[in-house]
Amino acid sequence: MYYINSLDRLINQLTRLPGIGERSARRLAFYILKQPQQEAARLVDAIKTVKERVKRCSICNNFSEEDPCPICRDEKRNRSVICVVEEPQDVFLFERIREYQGLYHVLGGAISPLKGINPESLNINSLLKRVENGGVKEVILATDPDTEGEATAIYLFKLLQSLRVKVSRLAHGLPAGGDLEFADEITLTHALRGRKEMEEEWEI
Amino acid sequence: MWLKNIQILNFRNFSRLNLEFSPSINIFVGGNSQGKTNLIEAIYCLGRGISFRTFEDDRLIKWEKDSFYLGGEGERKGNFLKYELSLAKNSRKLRRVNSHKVPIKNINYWLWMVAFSIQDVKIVQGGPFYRRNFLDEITSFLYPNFSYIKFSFSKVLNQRNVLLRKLREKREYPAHQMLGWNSQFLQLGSEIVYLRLKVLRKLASCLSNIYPRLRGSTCSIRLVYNSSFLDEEDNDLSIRKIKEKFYQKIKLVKDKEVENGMSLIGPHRDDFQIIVNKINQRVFGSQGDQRTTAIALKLAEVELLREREGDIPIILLDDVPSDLDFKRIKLLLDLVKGKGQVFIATQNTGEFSKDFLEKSRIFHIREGEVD
Ligand SMILES: [Zn+2]
Repeated sequence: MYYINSLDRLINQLTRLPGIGERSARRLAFYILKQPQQEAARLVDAIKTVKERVKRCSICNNFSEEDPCPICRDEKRNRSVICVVEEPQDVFLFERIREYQGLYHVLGGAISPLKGINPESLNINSLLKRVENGGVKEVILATDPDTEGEATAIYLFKLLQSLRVKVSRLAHGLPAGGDLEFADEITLTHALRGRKEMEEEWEI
Repeated sequence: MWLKNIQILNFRNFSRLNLEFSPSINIFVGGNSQGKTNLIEAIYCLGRGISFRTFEDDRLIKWEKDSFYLGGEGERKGNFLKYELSLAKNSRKLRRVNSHKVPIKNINYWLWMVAFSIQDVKIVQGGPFYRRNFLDEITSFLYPNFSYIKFSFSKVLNQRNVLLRKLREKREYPAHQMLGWNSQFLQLGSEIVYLRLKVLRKLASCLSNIYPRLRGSTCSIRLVYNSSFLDEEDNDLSIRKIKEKFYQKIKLVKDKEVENGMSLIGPHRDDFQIIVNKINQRVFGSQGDQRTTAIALKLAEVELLREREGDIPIILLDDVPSDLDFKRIKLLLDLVKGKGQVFIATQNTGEFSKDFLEKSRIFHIREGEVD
């Protein structure tokens, strides 16, 4: 059988990437192999540098090369609103629509007992501290519109309620059950503009 | 709605097959395991994207082959569309309509089909699972967001059960954590029950038309929803009202749920009774009555789909004649007479009248070959 050890290793690494199947991995690996040495070196260097330089912001937990991140440091932004999202890539989505001028808070996931993700494993305490420190008038819960995102929003709402801050949830109309990532810019803008104040749930 | 032709490659026991169909009646004649049921299955798969016999898609691929392909021209609302379905081993089925990739779940591109088979009697005889499945399938046709609501509900149910198991082990109550799941559990569960009740009422009114014709005598039919938190007379409530009842009941079983480490009430536990002339068909119906009831239920499904689509779905009869007397088959065909396309798989045509056979296109099937 046709087999090259190091090539196989590269293919294996590539298949671990999200959205890359066996076939695309093979195509990418052969493409890389055919490139000049310095081209491949640039790719390796880019991966290395991003891992070395990009850290988490100590305030909002977003990815950043500086700490605090440029958004948290920006004096022109509206510091009385915090938009709570699951992942750093969600910040990119909101920034892209240029509608939102407030700050962010990245949870690092959503609550899921099945996957063993408890509230304690998320970046929730630092959010509560930010609100307790004052100056925050509204918290927008922009977790994904799926069951985990919804459960996380309801959990956060309960905690934030006692801190006398307005808590709102992105409007429906987002692709139900999906990822924010799959919402287009118009839908996301509508969801943001149409956000509603959350209401008390029936406690069992 | 009808299927004009089919091309089959490496599906079940067929290697390569091209058939042209009649827009009315098509009969597949063949002995046991010659392939007539496989042909019915291929047609169903092409129209709906899934099999009615198995969930294991790889079993659809011919023995020792790597993939299957199905193609065919189907008519929908006056337009002919090219339908294709293919599957490579260890991969996902790929569906194309007019060369465009279409998700299998997208019901706007289905060739609607209802398959009658010997298995149907389980809807009447079997456990609650079969009846829920039957009801939920129709509900998701009539209310497309039902599939999504049910999908979300089962996710919430799983998450909630994990938490309840944890509570049982530790005997503590992370109320804040439960809240997020409880509120979705109540909301989604109530929406499911609301839609099911709606469909059950429609189904019952369809049945009261169909059943007497099938039995040849007048009879009374009732479908009674057995909910884990509603009473029998609560069959026409708003979502809000259903949710309130659900909420009241779940508060009562709260401690018990922790003791058992699982969700004890909700639509995942529900069932419905089929009562014909005051007789609960599942418990007291005769074999013959149960079969008639199953056919009546499927015919009611045909009728509800016809109302929804404005067109009769394609009807597939898998080996029904061997299991049913001819009179019922004839009645069944009368109900859709002259309008829909029908495929019948049978061992022999002896029971069919000459007149009927003359109007039909007949295919003889032997060992995966057709003449
Ligand atoms: Zn920051």
